[in-house]
Amino acid sequence: MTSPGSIAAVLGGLFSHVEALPGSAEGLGWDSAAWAALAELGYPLVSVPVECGGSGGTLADAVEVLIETGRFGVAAPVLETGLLGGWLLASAGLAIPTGPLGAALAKPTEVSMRRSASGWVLDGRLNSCGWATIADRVVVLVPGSDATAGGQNIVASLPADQLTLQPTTSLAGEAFSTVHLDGVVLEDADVAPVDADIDAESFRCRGALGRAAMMAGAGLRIREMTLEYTGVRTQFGRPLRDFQAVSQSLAVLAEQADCCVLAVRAAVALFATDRVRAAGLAKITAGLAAEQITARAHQIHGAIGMTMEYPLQRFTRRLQAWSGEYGHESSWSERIGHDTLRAGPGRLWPALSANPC
Amino acid sequence: MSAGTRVRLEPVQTTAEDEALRAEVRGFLADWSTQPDHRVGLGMAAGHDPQFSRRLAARGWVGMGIPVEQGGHGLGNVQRFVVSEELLAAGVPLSAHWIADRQTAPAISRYGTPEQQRRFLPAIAAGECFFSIGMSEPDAGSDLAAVRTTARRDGAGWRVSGTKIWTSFAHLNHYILLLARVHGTDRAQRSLIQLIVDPRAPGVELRPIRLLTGEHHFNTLTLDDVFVPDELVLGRPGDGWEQVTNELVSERAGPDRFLSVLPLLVMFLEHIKHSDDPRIAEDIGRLVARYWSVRQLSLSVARLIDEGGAPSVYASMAKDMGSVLEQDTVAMISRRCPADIVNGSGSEFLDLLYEAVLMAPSFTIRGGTTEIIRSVIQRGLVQR
Repeated sequence: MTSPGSIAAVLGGLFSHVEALPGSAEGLGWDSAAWAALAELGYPLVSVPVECGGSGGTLADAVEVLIETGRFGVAAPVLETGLLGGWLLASAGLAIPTGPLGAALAKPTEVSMRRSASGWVLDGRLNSCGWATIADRVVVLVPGSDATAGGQNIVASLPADQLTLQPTTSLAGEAFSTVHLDGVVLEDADVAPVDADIDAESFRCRGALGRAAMMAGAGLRIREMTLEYTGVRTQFGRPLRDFQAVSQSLAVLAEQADCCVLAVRAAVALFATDRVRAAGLAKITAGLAAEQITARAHQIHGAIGMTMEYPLQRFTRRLQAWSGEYGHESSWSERIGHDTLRAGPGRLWPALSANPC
Repeated sequence: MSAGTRVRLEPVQTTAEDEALRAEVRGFLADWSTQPDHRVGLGMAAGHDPQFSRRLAARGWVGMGIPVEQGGHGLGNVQRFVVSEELLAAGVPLSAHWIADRQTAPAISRYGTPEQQRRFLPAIAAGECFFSIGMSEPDAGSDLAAVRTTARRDGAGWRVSGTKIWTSFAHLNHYILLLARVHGTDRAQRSLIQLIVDPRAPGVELRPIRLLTGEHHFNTLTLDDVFVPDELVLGRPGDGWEQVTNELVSERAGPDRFLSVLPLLVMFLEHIKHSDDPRIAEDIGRLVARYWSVRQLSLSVARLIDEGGAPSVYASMAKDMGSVLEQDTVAMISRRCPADIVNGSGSEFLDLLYEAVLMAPSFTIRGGTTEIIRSVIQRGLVQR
């Protein structure tokens, strides 16, 4: 892949055209034009090895792509297709289709899997599954149990046309659904075991890092929009940013946005050695930033920010939706806190100052 | 392109050389922490101990950034960051040399005459020469451009009169780098001058101002026609504002802006280590993430300075986020501390928490109030 800076430059150019299409995604919850533009250049499958049908590149490259998709509010399953679905299919040695993918982690209490004469049979449901309505396939990680192949974790590639969907809408207005699996039968070519380290935790960690990257991108965009708005909107004869109360809030918004992007990039370096810590630190940072950025951007924009027409909501709604996905800041904080307590007081500073940290 | 994205913040990976330096500092600190008279303190105000400063200097950890030809160690800002953060995380008494090392030495290195550099820089690097900041006045706090202390030309020097306030450790340090207004000029910023003043010179009177804890750090400094020879003027008369502005970047971005209470947090973890309260775990995890991300920001600024930048907006962001984090840390520990916060109980943790609770409001005041820092950020965002 190319350098992170050039990923940003290429995608910036790409999306500036797509975004010009009026209301392309609103209402549908899915931006097919943006997806087509991205997919043509192979961006959704960045970090998935070329020999497995991906686009190659590193995790860092994929994170840069996700920062940019967040920054442009792209309503398409970029994270789900590459960092999650593509990763699962590649790890399992299954075919990667060309279209958009959904990705889900099956809860052992909600999905069961058994072998029958005609193939693998899945029953149960997947809650709040993103993009199943538009995806070609939904890739599901089924944690190992006695029912699966010798207790191994299983990857199942579900053709979307065999699923019963109960559509819902995420806080971002994106297409979610409850997926009902009523005896879905899969051919052997769509099911394969994976190594033990492809598990629920690594799925959540990749999801959390990816969402944090998209949140960082959305935060940057809100920072840009709000800075611009406070320069052009005039009240009492002067631009909003000349009011001290507004400028103070703007400063906090900007520092939260900038620090969040830096933190996400730093987390990538840590991910290879400690993915739980890396994902947790990134998601906590993004979640805390999202609270500040969302509240302050809306307060500064006033009523106009509450309208469908004005673009602010496209980004603030995503921040709110993504805060809850792949672990809320609160649950990651508890996890990191437990790990910190378990490691003991003497490890607090060495861990904070480790390299990569 | 959008405002504020011209300089890209990048995570810093320290080098093997940096980490070797860190290991050396940790070895020193492990030894220090076993000494019976050692006392863990809070950040840059942890304690004024000239002997300890000289010990650090003997290891090469004071004046690290001063060029070798000026008597320093010629190391980068990132390396100074690594040493500083280790010392701060351990809570060592570094107040004596702190200001000289952090901001006076870079100022003299940049604006000083060769003679001033010869006179002061090797002494600072040896831990033998300590400075105080002479910026604030009774009517010029955040509004630094309002300073009224005047410097009037007199032969081969200047006569300085006025009052400085909040001058930490002026009663213990060798010099004050003082900001004054050239006599006869108005409020315009082009009229400021920096002078190196000996607090024991004739005409200087020092009066202690007790902190609310009873400690003596602050002083009021009255100057009555104090003669300062030309050789002790720093930079060009009239350039004082620009010089002070650069000094403030070094003052604001460093690890001393977020690590003041880290030793306290470590003691708190020890104190509650048998707790299984999930609320405490959540609070700690959240703080850990904030320390980690603010450190990334602060370290990135250090790297930008090494690359020749003067990233005043990012430096101010690090200062704002770091100092608020310090306060939030103290608030969290106070909220979750199972014991009464009293002084003198024999618990090192409670004594330090007692001090931290009382001093915490100062974290977002010293080095520029949060409100001023945020104004600096906003102005920087708009200007780009």
